[in-house]
Amino acid sequence: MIRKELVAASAEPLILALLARGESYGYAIIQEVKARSDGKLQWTDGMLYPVLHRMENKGWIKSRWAESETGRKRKYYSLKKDGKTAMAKHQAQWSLVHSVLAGLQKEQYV
Amino acid sequence: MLTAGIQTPVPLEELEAHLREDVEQQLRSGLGAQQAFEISTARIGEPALIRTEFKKTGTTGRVMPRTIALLLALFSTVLGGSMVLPALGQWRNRGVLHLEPLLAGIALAFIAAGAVIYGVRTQRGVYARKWISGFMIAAGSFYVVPLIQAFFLSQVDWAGWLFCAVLAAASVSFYGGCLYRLWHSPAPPIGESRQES
Repeated sequence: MIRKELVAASAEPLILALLARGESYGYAIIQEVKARSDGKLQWTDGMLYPVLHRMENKGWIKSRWAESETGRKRKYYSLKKDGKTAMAKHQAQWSLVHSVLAGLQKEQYV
Repeated sequence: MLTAGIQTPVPLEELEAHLREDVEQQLRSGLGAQQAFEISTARIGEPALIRTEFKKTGTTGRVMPRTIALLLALFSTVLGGSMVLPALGQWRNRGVLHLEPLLAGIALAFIAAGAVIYGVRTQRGVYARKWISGFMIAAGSFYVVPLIQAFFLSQVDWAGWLFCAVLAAASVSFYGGCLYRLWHSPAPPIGESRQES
């Protein structure tokens, strides 16, 4: 099971990366994360929305209400320019951590 | 969610929309209505925890009062200054010192400045920050006005120039520092608690 601290820390970069592919909404974001992680990244559904609101407050994403295929109201989120900058920073940081870990693992087997 | 304290319409509507979509998905997979609802509500999570997270973002309806308080604090630093400066001017020009407006203005300016610093440290809403930035520039400019006025008046001596220059520099430093802090303060990491209310 993945530690909750890691799940929490990865939420923002994952959301930013998903929204970089195009506009989406909360339920779809959660389903996408579950599918891509084979169910290993389990987010508490309701906890996604405070994260989305915080990112919107920071100016990284914007939202709009629209009608879904079933006629129900749905809130869509999309990435803003500041969000792309934030995403790039997040990705650089994660790449750094990954490269250090990978380097250390390589040394163990040499 | 309402009883847990999430009362602002936007988060409630979003959570409701999410719940409905999840229930529909469960029904499509063949589950009964009651079971689908129970699974979906369990997946949403604990309302109290969600409310705590929303509180950190300021989306539980407390952003507007905090923004208004900060704007009032900015207005009050100007009000304090508008009481202190004329009192000092009268003292210098006529030798008459009115202590009451001087002390009241100084107290008001200090209290308001402290409230501005606190508000800047806890402000998280990006839209409110734009309004606050505009008011900060206006408030800072107010204290620069005596320096500009002194430039156009012929009877200002070096002591007067020095006072106006120091006032303008202090104002620009204070409000400039607040502006910098407002836009460059680090956001709390996800999952960490910070006393913002």
